[in-house]
Amino acid sequence: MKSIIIKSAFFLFIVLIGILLFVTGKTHVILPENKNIELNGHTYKAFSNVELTIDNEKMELYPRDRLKMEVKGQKHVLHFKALKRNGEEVEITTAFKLKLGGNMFLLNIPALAAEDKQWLQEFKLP
Amino acid sequence: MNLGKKILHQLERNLVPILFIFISLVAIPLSGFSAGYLVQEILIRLSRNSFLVLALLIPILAGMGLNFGIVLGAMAGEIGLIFITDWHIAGLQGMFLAMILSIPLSALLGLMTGKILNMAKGREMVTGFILAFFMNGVYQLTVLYGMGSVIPISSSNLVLSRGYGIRNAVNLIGIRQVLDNLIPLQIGSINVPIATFLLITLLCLFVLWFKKTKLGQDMRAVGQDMEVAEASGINVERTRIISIVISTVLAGFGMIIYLQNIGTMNTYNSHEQVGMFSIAAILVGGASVAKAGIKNVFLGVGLFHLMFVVSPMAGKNLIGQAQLGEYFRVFVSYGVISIALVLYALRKRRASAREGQLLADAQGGDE
Repeated sequence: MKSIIIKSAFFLFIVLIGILLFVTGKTHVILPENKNIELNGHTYKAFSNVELTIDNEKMELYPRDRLKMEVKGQKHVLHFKALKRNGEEVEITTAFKLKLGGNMFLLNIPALAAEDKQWLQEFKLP
Repeated sequence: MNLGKKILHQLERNLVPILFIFISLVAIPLSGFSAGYLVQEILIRLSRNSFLVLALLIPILAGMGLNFGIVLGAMAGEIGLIFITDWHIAGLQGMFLAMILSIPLSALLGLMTGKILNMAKGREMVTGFILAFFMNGVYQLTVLYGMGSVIPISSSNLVLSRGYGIRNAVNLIGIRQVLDNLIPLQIGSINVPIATFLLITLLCLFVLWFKKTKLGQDMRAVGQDMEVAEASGINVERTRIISIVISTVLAGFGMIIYLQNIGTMNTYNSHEQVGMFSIAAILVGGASVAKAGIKNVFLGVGLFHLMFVVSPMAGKNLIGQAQLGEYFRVFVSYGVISIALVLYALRKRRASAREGQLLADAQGGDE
């Protein structure tokens, strides 16, 4: 009996380690974009210029740009500094969590600046 | 025994490593490679192959000879790598997850191999060799037809355009050299993969510790004489199966370490030569079918791969054809296994003849 309990506990421990490795090692593709977007009847205009940092990886986006980056794990920190067409500056830092099952996500900067809930959407290749 | 006989005996015992040292001494100057380059190459190959070769030690301890069945563990490791690539798991997490995924499969394959080898006592090596060929067919069937159809694989980078079956080459970019580059150390122009060597050291310590455990002692007893071990209450068949299971699981890990270093997996061929080259390496290190230690592993991997590195260039510089060196190294791999097996058989025959003579002398003395 004792042997069965020890073996089961060991098996469970290995399974848990496996799950932990899966969650922390899963890579996702993020597609940050600076494009006009219409969501829930609102139109969000692209910025003149965006300086974006996700987990210390910097990139710069101009209107109609869509870039690609790969991240590991579910939780990430995003910081961006954007310049509106009227010269006004927007700066946001936010933490976000990606869906474990998703491989690719579309990140719309203008929607994020407007705090629209759909600023991050799963993207599936057609 | 006089001095001449002692020297001759030592020479005979270490004939294979001596032969390799001699070949290397001739080939190194001919190749024209610098010492730094050769040291770097040997370090890379030691880190890449040692774990796989160490997986051979435990079945030798249990008297099961050279385990050609490590190819089965290598296949299990490859299947683990296919899954982590499909699930997009990268980094050390990917490598260790592939190891975890390979455990049940390699343990099951090890169990099957152990049971079959128990039915073929005394012919373990040839049985293991043929079993590896058989399981290669099962592996190819599973990967070529089962994956993507029965076993869900969704990544278009992995699945063939027809919708099922895995592509010939799998890019392991997510885990490429993650272990080797974990603790970087540069001495001059030479990179030393510290983390890989630490893992190999851990396995060496495990082997040393394992030999001292009850199970390890049982294996040694089984390896020395199965009948005596059985009479002393050891479950011989179970002990032999456990040794093969441990070896197969370790081979699965070894294959993952090997492929993380290379960074690309040749789906249908990567595992094929693993058994042959690992066994050749341990034999080059002076091991025999019945006796092997950790020093044989490192000496063997070092010498065998030194020849691998220098022989093509030596062949090219000597007669203008690198192909000769390629032929040479394949010929030597097979040749060294043959020499080691023949020497082992000769020694065994000589020992039993000597024992017979001693017995006859003793009986003659009694009369």
